[in-house]
Amino acid sequence: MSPAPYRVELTQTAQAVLDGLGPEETAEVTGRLVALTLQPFPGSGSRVVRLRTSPPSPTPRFYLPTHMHGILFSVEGDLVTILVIDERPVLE
Amino acid sequence: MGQETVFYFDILGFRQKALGRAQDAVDALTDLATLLGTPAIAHLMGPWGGRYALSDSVFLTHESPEMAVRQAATLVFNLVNMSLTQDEPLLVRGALVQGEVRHLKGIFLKSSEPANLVGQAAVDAVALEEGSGLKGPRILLSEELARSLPPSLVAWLLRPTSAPGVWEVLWPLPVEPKGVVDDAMEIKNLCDRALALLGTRGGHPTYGAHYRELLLLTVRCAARIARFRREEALQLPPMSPFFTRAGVLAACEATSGISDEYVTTLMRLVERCDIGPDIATARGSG
Repeated sequence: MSPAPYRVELTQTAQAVLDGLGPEETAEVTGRLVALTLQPFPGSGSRVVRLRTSPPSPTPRFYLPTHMHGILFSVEGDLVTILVIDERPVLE
Repeated sequence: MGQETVFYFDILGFRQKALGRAQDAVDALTDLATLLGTPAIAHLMGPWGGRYALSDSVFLTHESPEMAVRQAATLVFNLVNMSLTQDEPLLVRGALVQGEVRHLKGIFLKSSEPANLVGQAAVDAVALEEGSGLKGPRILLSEELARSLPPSLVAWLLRPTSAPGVWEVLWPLPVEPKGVVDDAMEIKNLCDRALALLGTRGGHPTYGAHYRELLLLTVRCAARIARFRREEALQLPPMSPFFTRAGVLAACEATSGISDEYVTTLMRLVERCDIGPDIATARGSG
């Protein structure tokens, strides 16, 4: 895998969530993010969603719904900021 | 009791999703819960004053009719966009109504938090969503409410439907024309997906109408963008056309169960989607 052309910065919330995961889960999440940063934005054909906001936000926000997590992040230049990593709601 | 705007919506085809093991229904409600419940996302979308749900029926209230329209369009776009790559994306239909409502506790009195919504606006919103006879993923609103909104918002984001006294929100569009610059590729993705869904789902005798209407809606949005580009010099990024006549015609000709009348209406709208040769030929140069 070639190096990601983006720098990744975690917010305190995202870091706290990552700290609470086991090694395999952390590897899975960070692996997904690395793969994510290798894709052009916005990710046509992927499940990366560019969130539309009202009122419009000056910084585009993206959301990656996965089986276990929803990852909210923003991209400014080459900086990917992971805003929060949420567990998906469990409804049953 | 006070005046508020009620946004009522439910998930199209939820009854079918809820059959058997109901995994599709669980997935649909999970997507909905994610968007409505993730604090960071909810904050970005701004506050709804009241939020109520039972199964797939959701009621949201807002003090401002204009903000309610903007927030409803944003919410539905994000909701559909989240599931766009699934075989059957999550589609919803709803209605916005301005009027009197009261927020009540739940009838089991387990919490002081409001859990029930009653009032004329709640009744009218459900009636409008269920009674208009209009198919497809739409956000409907009364003509009276539409005419009370700022003319610039109406000109960009709303259109009158074929049902008397009923308008709809063109939710695939950003809430302001200038937002197209940033959102063009997401809109294009939705247009492409709507066209593909016509081929895989559009001819179905039970739920095909929803997908046929989704395509019509996206074509109408592309036509609105093209009109604003011609009349208001709306800026677009370098990109291929939202739709081509040949592409849409090919999709229709490859799908059974689609009426000639539908194809005629669709193609007439596609003619209005031309965003200009300078943009259409610029793909790959930027």
